[in-house]
Amino acid sequence: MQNKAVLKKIAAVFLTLAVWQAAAMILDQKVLLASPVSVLLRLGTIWTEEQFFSSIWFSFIRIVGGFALGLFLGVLLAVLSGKFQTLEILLWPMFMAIKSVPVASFIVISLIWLTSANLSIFISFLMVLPIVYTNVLQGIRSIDPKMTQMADVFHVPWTRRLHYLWLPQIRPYLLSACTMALGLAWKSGIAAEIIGIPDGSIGEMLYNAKAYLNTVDLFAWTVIIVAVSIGFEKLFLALLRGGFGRLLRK
Amino acid sequence: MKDIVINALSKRFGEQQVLRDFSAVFPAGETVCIMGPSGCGKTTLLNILLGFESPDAGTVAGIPARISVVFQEDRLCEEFSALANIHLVTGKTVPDADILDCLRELGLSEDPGKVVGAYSGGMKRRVAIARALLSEGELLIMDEPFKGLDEGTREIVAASIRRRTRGKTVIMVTHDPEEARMMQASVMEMRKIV
Repeated sequence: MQNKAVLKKIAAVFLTLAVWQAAAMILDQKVLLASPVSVLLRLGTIWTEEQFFSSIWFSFIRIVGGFALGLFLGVLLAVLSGKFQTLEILLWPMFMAIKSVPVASFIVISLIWLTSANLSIFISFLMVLPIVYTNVLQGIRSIDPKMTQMADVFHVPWTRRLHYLWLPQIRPYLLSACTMALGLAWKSGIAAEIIGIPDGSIGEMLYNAKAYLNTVDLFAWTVIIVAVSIGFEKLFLALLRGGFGRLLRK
Repeated sequence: MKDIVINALSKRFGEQQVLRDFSAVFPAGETVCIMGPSGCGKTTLLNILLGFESPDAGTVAGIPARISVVFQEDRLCEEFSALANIHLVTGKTVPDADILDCLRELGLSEDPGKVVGAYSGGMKRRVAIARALLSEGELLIMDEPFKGLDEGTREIVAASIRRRTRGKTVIMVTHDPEEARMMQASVMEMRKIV
């Protein structure tokens, strides 16, 4: 049954590629629409170029850094807000602003304060923070008050409460937050690089490809971003699930 | 250890008066079973003793700093083993061997690594009782601790509770006079306010 579903998905991917290839052939304008075959051929050579790995590393380290910072601070603030409701109220306007203001506005405003090289760290951080904060706080709020009452009666210290009561409850919320936040970190981080154009970044590569009307490169770099983003997401979530599994296996 | 003295306790929830001028003494080191019909305020009284509810009037004296409780619901962490559930309240102060001894005494010889979510209702109840027995409170409060246990198991569990709480004050709520007999406890009757 599961194999059948996977086969159907693979078939859907091939159908999409076929439609894309047909559209590119009908249009016959590489500048407007690069064909999947030309993108695939470009992917075979692009990695041999001098700046390929350094560009990926440059963007990867910054976007993942921003994500990690957002994850850490999001969890910390959610735990503190779970304990002190005043903090939750104090933080509410800030998180509402982050959620409502368009990411492009943040990028442009941030360019006033930050160098373009550090922009993607800040923007990824800013996009990840409210998602992690909101989800983890929701997880904390869903802890059964009767279990908290039990812990209070038995004078259970906070370290053990964290391990036995909080972590199992927060786990699904944190996993879901990370799945959402990782995708958004990459999207916003690369958007920040395209606007800030830091030297040696994926954003610069994309910007140059667009400036020189090199649509095949534009598509190829997009495929690389998606691959790196999905690869990191799968790896990180596997590590997180493993970490939780080890912590809660008792 | 002091007697627990309740003086003229009153408690109302909306229109319903649950306790009115209720006074009682729970002698130190003795086991007392509180009995009475549903809605007569037994659980409310326990909640006041535990500090979960404040009385509208009256006083409670002699409550020790450390209390062990068997709640009406098991209140266990379902994703963890029986051992882990007990370590949650005892920390490392009680060794695994002592916990396993207690669980065996209560008739639980299941794999101690198995998560309690996979246990039957009666087994979970006994884990909740073991947790209270091992947490070393000076006062043990139990709200219908034998709920979901069969006749034979109740005898075994009651014997274990008696042995492990010797010299401690125990307050237990039950509907069943047989359970009071098994606990060799004195009985305090509560009546519903009409």
